[in-house]
Amino acid sequence: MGIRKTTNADADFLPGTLEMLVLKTLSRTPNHGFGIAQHIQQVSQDALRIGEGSLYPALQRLLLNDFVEAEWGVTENNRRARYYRITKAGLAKLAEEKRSFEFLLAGIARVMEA
Amino acid sequence: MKLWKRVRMWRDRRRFEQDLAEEVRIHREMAGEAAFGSEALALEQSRDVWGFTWLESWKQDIRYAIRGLRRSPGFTLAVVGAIGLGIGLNTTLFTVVNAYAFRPYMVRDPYSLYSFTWYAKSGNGHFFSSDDYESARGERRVFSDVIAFDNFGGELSGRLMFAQLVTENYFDFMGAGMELGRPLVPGDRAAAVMGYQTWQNKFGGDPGIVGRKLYLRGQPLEIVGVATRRFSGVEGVPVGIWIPMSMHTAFKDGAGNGELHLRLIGRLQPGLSEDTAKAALTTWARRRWPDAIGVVMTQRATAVPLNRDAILTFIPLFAAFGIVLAIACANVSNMMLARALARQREIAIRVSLGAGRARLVRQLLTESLLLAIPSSLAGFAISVVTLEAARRLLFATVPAAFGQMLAIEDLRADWRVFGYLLAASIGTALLFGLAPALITTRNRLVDASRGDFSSDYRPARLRNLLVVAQVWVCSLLLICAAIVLRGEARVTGRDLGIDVRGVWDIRMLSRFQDQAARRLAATPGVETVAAAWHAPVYGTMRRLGLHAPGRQDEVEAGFDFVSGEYFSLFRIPVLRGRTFTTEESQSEAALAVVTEAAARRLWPGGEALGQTIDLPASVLRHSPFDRMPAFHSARVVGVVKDVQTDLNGADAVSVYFPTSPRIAGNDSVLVRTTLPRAEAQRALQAALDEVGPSIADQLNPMEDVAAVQVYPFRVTFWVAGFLGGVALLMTISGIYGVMSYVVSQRTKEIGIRVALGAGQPEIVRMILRQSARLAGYGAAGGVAVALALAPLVANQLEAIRPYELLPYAGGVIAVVGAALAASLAPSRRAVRIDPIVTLRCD
Repeated sequence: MGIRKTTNADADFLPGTLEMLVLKTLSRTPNHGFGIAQHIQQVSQDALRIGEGSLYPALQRLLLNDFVEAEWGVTENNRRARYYRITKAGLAKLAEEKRSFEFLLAGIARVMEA
Repeated sequence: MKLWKRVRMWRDRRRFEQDLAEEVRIHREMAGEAAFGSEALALEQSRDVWGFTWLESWKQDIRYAIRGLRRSPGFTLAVVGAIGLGIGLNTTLFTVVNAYAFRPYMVRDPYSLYSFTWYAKSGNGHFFSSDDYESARGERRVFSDVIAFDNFGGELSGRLMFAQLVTENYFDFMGAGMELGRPLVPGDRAAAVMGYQTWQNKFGGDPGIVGRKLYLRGQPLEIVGVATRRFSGVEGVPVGIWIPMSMHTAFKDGAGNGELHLRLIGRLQPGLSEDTAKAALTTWARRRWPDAIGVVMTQRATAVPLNRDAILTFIPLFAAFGIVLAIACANVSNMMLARALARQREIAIRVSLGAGRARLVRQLLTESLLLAIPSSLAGFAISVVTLEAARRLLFATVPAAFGQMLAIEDLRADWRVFGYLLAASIGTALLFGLAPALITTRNRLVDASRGDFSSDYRPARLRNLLVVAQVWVCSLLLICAAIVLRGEARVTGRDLGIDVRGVWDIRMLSRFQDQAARRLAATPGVETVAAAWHAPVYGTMRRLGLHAPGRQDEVEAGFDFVSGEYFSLFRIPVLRGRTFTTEESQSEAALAVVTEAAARRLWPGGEALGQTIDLPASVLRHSPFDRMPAFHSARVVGVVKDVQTDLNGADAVSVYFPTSPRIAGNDSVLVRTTLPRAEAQRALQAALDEVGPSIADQLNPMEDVAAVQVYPFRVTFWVAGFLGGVALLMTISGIYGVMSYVVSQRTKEIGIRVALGAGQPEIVRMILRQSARLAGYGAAGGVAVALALAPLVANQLEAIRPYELLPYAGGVIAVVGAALAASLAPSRRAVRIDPIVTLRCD
């Protein structure tokens, strides 16, 4: 019963982290799925590699919650691709996620350094 | 709405799949070597996000249920009929209660309107004078504004209706709006605003009504406007016409400025709580009336204020109607159970193949919910038809003279009714669907794996319980109906001691009475004319305490003021002495005529004639309409035969004092004619019109007055009897269904019995015994509940006697008889069972 599953628990992240990363990526500029995965991989210097199996369900969740919008477009190389654009609600969500993520991170750091 | 988004996406899912598949394909192409992860998994999990599997299975359930229902149209029809009838009757009741108690008046901010009055030790329900009104209006802390009004019934150019005298701020205060013309404004005198219903029903929606001159109580009035359709006053009285308060003296008898009988409604200041307002108003009342104890405030947002009394009245009504719906549910539940059991093999196989129970229950419930949709539509149709039929029946059966006064609130369905319908249909679907769904999906893996899909699979207890419950409820309703019927028969059969045939009660202002009485007496066909303060039969007499001189004990007696002709008019035999002479009547001499019962109570064993009655020196005035004799003792000049003045069986201890049409303060001029009814009405109306235009308020044949007193009994009986009949029908069909099922389930057993030599009578007896036992338990329960409820109605009305044997015996016999009759056909089927066939099968 997939209807109740709104966070991604099976990735190698904390729940919801992938969505946060996607939102962050899209907050700079609209992008297609591959572009998002590539961007995350590059910026994290290959620390985070996102497979299709987690990326696309995450994008669907964002679509369902109206955090992003999707539209077919054309890439610089003249290829068809589906572009995702962050919405106002998505920006708000990103800010909220960022706050709680920092809070969590600080907590973890305190534990690890204790 | 996330759900809505999901459903929309699901509807569009072909495009969704295409998009997603293409997207992932492009992704993999772009990634080339770097692609990793399963494509299928990506698609599957993306689909899951939108809950497609879930929605897909719903669709399957619905399709499956529809297929199943289409295969058994008889079952579907039976369910829709039974539940539709139950829901329909309940929606009918709810529509009525909604119109009177839930739907607020179409006025500005209805929930801030409060009527109020004050009470003291000596009485309650006080009315107000115009000075009181001004003073209340000055209480700005409590009310932003106050209106005053005074109602009376009268004929507006020959059409009977309620008229309301209102203060000049009335229409502004209500903010209700006009259909035609203008509202009443300050300075209006002989002007009036007509109610929409009156305009439509009594003046044929005459487009030229504004500007017409009509007569009421002999006074001309110009119609200046028609109120909007949804507004007919806020006091539960359907107002036909509004008149400015400045005309009060023209329309009401002898009320000086200090003696107006006004009622008040105030609009609470915004934000003020009811308690605060009440406290402030109590202070105001105590300042104005030293003996005032407190005030009563009633919210006037709906026709019937939703207070404790109203709710106590609604509960038995909703219970009786709800019971019928419950029976319908029990019936359908039984049918579903039988049906589900017939499918037990399929279900058991599915369970053993690993189908989740929740999934199976959901599937069975889907079927119930699907059945609820046509049932609620049928229910709505039934409620519309029932309401219209009831309305017509009401107008067709209510005594003619009172039908005109009758007005019914707008009974159209609104969002509350539809909400109720929705809740009722979902509720019933769960009620009749849940038990069968839970029972048939019980996990029986072991039996099923043995290949045994039937044995020990008999939820017999539940089925029997449902039948017992039906019989129980049905017998209760029938017993109640029978008790009411007995009450009605008792009331109808009661000898009042007066002859009302050919007698007319004509009501008019005192100022017209003398002239009208003389004119009526001269009308051909009129035998006798009499005056009375209160005409009999309408209700209980006013009462007062009397003494025989020299005796201490007070005798409480009903009293009335009548002219000497009253007794011959009503054919009341004078046993000893005489009645009042014309002179005595006109001078209101200190004389009295007493009934036999009063004479016995006042002078036991002695002679009443010539004795003196002492009246109390001062009497508490219970209402401003009370009237006391001007003397403190009266000589008894006559003894008449006992008279019952109302149908509720009050004792016949009563005293009459003299009065005449010349004297102010009497309500009625009574006339006995020898003419047939229609002719009499024409002749009386013509005679009255000669005195003045529309001077009479009402022209009531006393026979109709008597009929109206019985009418509530009759309506209660019809409603209770109708519900009982419906319940009986449903119970019969329910027992029939259950017994048929039982017979088919016991086929093997019966076959063995027959093979072993059981005769037909034994088989029939066996089946009937089972059905009689269930009916017996149910009927006993019904009798027990009826007896438990009896103390609530005992002593409320004299005519209703809840402890008589006959209604109980009748109800029980009817139900048990019906139960036996319903199981005759199944028992015949049992008799026809061929042991060879049954023993061979399986």
